[in-house]
Amino acid sequence: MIWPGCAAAVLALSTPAVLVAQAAEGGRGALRPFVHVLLAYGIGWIIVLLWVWWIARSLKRVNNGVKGGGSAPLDEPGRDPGRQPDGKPAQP
Amino acid sequence: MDADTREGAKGMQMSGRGAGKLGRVGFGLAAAGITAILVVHWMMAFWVPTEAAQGVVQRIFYIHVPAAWTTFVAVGLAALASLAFLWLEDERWDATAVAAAEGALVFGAIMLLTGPLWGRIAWGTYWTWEPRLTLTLLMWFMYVGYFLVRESVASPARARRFASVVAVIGSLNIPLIHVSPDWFPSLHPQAVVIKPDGPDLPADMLITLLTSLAGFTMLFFGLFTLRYAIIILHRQRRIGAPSRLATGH
Repeated sequence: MIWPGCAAAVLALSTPAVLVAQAAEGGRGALRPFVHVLLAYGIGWIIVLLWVWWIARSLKRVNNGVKGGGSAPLDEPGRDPGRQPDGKPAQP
Repeated sequence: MDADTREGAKGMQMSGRGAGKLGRVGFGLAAAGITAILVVHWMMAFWVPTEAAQGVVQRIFYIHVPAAWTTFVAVGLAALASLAFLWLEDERWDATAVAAAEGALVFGAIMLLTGPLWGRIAWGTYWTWEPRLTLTLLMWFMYVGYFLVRESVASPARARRFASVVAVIGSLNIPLIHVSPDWFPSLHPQAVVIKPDGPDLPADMLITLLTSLAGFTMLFFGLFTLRYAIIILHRQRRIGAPSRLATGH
């Protein structure tokens, strides 16, 4: 598992290095398109990793809830903790 | 058990073993997708030639187009699942729609952010209010609205039905986005792959694009499957049928 991860990291990190090296050959004015390409791929990874983090967080909450056996607050869409399911305000 | 919970229980029979299997499928697809996207990084940096007219910035094409494709797949799936939920009122369709709508937001954000980075170099501006860009932004905001509706309506059952309608209406943008460069004056490039007379791309660019399309599609379906399984388990827990995704017990 470690070696595929290392290979992936080297590949991901070498891409911007190669692009920057190519840009340097073209002089300073040629750098901007390379920066935009790097930004585009970087933004793509960041957004995907945010979704992965969100999924891991919700998985952890499900597993914690199962371990505890209780009913921890759910991030259920449409669920308002201040109201009963029929929309009436919760009783104190 | 209240009415909403009883309604929510419909279609919620997923065993721990079933959830574990879904989890493994999701992990496998996501890993395959990430591997393919890493290969695309290599192809984009070392293998595919630089396009003559646009220069190096054309390489954004290999992330922008697959992100757009995946967004439309996710929006289509969310709309179909929402229609099925409105018709059958089966909780699994609502979970499908939520997971797909999250994917539509994620890949839509990638599409909407990478396009302007290309446009700044190719057009000289980050953004222009031309029909395809405007309709795409509108569709993305409608899917933001999908989640806002789910959060803002007090009754969960009503929230799900209202949000399903938003998802269906949002998907009506897809055909308009597709034909808008033909119908209206547009700066956006014409289609180069899905054409009646075949793709209009050199072979190496087409292979890189198809690899990226495959990677993004697998990544979406992998994360979508994981998210779907987690949503179902979350709701099962609420109605008292605990299960564990990671181990399948």
